[in-house]
Amino acid sequence: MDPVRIAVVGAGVVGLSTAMCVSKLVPRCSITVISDKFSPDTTSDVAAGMLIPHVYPNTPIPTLKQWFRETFDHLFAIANSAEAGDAGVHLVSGWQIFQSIPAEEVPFWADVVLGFRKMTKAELKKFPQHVFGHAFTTLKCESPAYLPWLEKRLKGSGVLILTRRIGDLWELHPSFDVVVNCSGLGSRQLAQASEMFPMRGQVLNVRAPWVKHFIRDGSGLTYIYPGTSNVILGGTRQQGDWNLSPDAEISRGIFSRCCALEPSLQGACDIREKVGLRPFRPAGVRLQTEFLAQDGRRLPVVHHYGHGSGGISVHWGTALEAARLVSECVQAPRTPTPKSNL
Amino acid sequence: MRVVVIGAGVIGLSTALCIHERYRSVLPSLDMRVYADRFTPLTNTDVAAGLCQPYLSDPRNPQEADWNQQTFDYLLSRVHSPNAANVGLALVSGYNLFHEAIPVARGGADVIINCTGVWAGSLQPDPLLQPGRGQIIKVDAPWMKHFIITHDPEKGIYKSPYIIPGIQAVTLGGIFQLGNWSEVNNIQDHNTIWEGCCRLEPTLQDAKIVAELTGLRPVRPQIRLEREQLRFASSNTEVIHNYGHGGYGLTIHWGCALEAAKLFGKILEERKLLKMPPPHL
Repeated sequence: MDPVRIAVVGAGVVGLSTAMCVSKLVPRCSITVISDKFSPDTTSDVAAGMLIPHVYPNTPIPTLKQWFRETFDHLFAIANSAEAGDAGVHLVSGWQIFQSIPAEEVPFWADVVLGFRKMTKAELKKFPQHVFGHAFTTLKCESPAYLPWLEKRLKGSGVLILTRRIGDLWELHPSFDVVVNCSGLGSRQLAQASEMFPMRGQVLNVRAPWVKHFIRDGSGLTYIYPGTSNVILGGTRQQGDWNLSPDAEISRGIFSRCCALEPSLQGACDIREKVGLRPFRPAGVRLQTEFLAQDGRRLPVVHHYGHGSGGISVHWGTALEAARLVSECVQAPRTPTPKSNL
Repeated sequence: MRVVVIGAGVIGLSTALCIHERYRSVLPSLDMRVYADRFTPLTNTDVAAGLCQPYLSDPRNPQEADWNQQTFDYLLSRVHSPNAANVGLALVSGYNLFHEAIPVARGGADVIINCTGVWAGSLQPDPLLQPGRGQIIKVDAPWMKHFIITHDPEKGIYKSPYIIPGIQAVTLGGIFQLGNWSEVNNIQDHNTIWEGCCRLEPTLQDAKIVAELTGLRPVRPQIRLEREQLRFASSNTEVIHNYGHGGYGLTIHWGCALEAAKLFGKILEERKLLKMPPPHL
């Protein structure tokens, strides 16, 4: 039997990790990753990559926790290996602080991260405007290194990488038997997902190597995330804003909010502005198989998009789920009967 | 009042600063000078990674615990300032790892402050003072955000690998040789450090070496922080000794400087030199 031909559309963290999981789970398949953008030009590349999960409205907490744990375990193994530097994955400790005591003092993911505890009064003295905090150690997964590292591994496994802009998923028929749609915001077009919109985020990349801890305001709007060679200061959440050009006043606001939390940042240098459009889907992550049918043609599509602010935190867990859907697709008998859209 | 401070490592400079800050306003005649043959970046202090962490076992002199706490509080109050990184101050978290569970005194000066560290013996023999030679490798490994210090009670402190990330570079170490005065880098020690640290943290294999340094820790069963009167010709010179801080000088320096300033205050009281009551320390 011929190998199943699988196209993965999208080469951000979701696309590449899905291609990886499919290559491991589905036997006798040939995989091609197709995208118009690759690292460092994907949405993932702008993200700091801190493993702190976001809640999706339609995802039960146990499922979300499983996705997070699978991602954490996968990255933790990389962080402890000699590959850590190449893959851009490392441990980082720090604080999540609140200006008022949150309804949920211990979040559902507290036992997935390392060493989770409440901050002491002495530690909170560092943040006079805040009354409560969490201290823990988590992982940082930096896409500018992680994505090329995944790509190298994919190529080593025989996966083909193609630079091409897809305007319609039917372009992939009949060259491919199964399509995996990891196009993020591109799904507005490719999956007619008009309910999706960008959640614009602006950040500053600065040099401040003395900052060894992350600091995140509980609201998620202000954060300081130290990385391998820079510190990311953020941020914004601007609904429906497609503008990819940095706004100078927003940058000043971010810098000022971050310096209020970490005054030594005033000595930061090499400040660079970046903008990313988070692929926001109101209903949360779409992990679903759809059988496209048109004029007697049939094309199975596994949708895997809509991760919004939390993509990197759950990417491996959702990629494993997507790979399972692909596997089911491949094992289903190849009949020409069209099925209705799910 | 002529005060001479000998030594310009962390102990000399902080002691000088502490005394100057507290007594300048009440002692208009205060003339303070710091003498040293080496200044930063060539002192033993400069070789240290600078992690403020007391030794895990209780100090012989219980006062040292107070001095450690005072130093920590002093530095903590300054680490949140905008200028912290410029002064070389930063917060760092990390891990202490164990193999098994641990249940834990010539005329010209009125007062001489002796902060000569490991070289104190050349001013006045002290059989209790010995060098604890250390060697470190500084690498560029900015992804390291945590210190990792291994402890081996059989080998002793600093003889087991440690990794301490700093502001610009990461310090790798694990050498402590009592009695060794050599200030030259040694290739076997280099290998010991490199192999030990890479085993702890494999990603270090990719790290670029930026510098390699040797320093002599001023090791003593306890810090010598006390007064002594020396007779030079016909006059009494007051000496305040402040040396023998081993591998924990940075951890304890400010508490010791405060104590030295207290001793200085006593000298002023005895000589009835204060115009007004001494400032509360």
